[in-house]
Amino acid sequence: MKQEFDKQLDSLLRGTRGGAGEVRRAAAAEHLSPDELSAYAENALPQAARSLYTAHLADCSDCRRIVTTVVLASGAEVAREARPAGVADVSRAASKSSWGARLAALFSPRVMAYAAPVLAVAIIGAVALVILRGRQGSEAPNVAQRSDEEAARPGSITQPSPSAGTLEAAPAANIDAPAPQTQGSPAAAPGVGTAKTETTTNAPVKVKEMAQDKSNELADADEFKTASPVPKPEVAAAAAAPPPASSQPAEAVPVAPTSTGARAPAREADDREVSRQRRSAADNAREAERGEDARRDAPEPERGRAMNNNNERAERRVYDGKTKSDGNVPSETEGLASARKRQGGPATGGGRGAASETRFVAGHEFRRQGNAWVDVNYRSSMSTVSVRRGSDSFRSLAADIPEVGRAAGQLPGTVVIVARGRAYRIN
Amino acid sequence: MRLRARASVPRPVEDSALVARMRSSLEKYLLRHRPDAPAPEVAKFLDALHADDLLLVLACEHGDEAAWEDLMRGFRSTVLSAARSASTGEAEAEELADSVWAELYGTRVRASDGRPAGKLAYYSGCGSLGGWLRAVVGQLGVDRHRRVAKLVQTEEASDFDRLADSEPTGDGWRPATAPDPERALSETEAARAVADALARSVAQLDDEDRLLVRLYYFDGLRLKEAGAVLGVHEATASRRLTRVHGEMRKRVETILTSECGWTREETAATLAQAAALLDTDLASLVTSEPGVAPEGRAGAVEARQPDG
Repeated sequence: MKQEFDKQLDSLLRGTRGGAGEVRRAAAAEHLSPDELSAYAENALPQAARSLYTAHLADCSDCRRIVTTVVLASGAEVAREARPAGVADVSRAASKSSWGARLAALFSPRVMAYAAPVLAVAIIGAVALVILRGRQGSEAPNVAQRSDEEAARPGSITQPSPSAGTLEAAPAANIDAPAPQTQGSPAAAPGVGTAKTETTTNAPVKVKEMAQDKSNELADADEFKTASPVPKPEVAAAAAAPPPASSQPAEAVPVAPTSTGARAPAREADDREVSRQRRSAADNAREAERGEDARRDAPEPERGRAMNNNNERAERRVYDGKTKSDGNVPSETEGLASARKRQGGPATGGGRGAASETRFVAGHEFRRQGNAWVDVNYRSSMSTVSVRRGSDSFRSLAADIPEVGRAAGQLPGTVVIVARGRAYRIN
Repeated sequence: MRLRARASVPRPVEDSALVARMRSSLEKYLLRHRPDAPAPEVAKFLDALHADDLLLVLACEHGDEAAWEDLMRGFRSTVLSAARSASTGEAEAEELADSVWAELYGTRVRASDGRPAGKLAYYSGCGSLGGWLRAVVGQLGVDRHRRVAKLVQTEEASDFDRLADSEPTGDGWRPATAPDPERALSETEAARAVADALARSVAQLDDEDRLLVRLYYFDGLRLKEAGAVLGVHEATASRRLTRVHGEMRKRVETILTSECGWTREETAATLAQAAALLDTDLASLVTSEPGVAPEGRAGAVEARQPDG
């Protein structure tokens, strides 16, 4: 940063420091007051007053020393290491952060926004699988017994099942199957049953994999599209409310038990509940993937629109606990506004978890950028002061500007906050 | 009132007290220098006042216990860290911090209303309260140090080094006398002329440039830090310093050629020689002769004499 100085003058001035015309102020009355000194140090004075005090400071080493102390201690000290603002800086800060900070980052709202739905889907799938397997194991003899009884009953329209497992798997697998195929057809029932057995055991795993593996998204999405065409804008309602009529046929699939009258109504209700849970989970995952697909596949202008749509949907699904703690669903215009607002953020933010990308802390609005929370008022042209958490400079800064301390305390990772006309980077 | 509305914490402060303090700040920092300041500028100034800090201070002045608790809790660390910077040890720092709090609260009682007359009455809200407290601690620290060591000039530590350097040691590290008296005299005269020309050229700089030179060369700040004091970016400070070098060289050459009668070649050669010599200290050459001291150093020398 230091330009090519006149080396001779530079050496001469260094050699004569302290002796070149310094004027000592003998009387303390001539010194600037603490109020004037602090206002000068914080660049808070009108130009005319500042010029006056500059003249004094140029000749008064006492006042100059105090101003320097105030400037440096209040965090105006420029960071020792020259670091360009941006993603590289954020990554470096992340690499230097402590384990605590890393853990905090791991459980940060942004990460949880992704992880929570995936975990929920995985847990629901696992529970459903365990329940199904448990029933499969415990009810297999009963089903076989019932089948035998039905076979012995005169006039029964049901053919003997190939296996109890196939019969049991049928209701769960019917999520993906069109209803008419299972209308007690002697030929279709075994075939559908065997195909569904495989689907049943794979369904939760598949949902989980879909959330993790993007390479299978298209195929899975197509498969789901044929199963239940849920209208896009009503995703949240679909997830929370009972399944729409279009997906009802899936519950009519267990033909064999109903047609034979061998299954109890309670059992049907259980099956229906499991099916509904899995459908909800699948719908959620499918919806997220559709948004992702749309963004990825669409040309650039349309991608933005797709992200908008996805953000709108996400806005309806996820509500920030702080800003919408009253539980009211935001209106359409609010959702759009907030989603569009977020679109102004950096590309690193992506579309997923957009609802958690901005936070309001200590009267400032912060936008997530990588591992950093950046004040929306921050501009890259601002000179940034870097302060490390826990350092003396940080304590001084937090003492001077409490909002900085609050923001640094409430936000994990790197925090860039604009306060009193300056930008501070808290690492 | 806008300032009260801007405050995040409401304080039981009377409007009259608040208005009086704001008017005082306005007079002091704006209207005194620009009596005809336009209304937008006045509004801008008032909007820039630190609302929370000002209300807190006014509430403390009016004896609000909660405000005092907030002040102590919020700024104890600030005062202590500033006191540490101005002290040589922890005990001294704590003592200084305690005395600052006492000064803030007021050791005297106002005749007008019987309340303690503390330093808080001088806070205008123009700068932050934390910065103001640091400046208070800094000034009290300097005053305190002066009281403790009245005869020591605390502000120029480097003077002592130079003084020690200028004294003949006799240990061979620095010869007490130059080997060639004529050459030594010539060098001393040249050094004095250069130092004088430099001092005058620095004095002729405009205020901001002079402050930059003093911060960078005399106070030993880095360019970043000097720029921060001036409120400019490091790059700006660097460019400004480069320009200042050019101006100063012209002035020094003018002084040396016109007043000392040197030719341009002699001036250039002398400057080069002086710069080469000034790995050490030009001022020490000038002061190696008893009774000869550049401006600003005489006080230090005199102050040391009674100690000797």
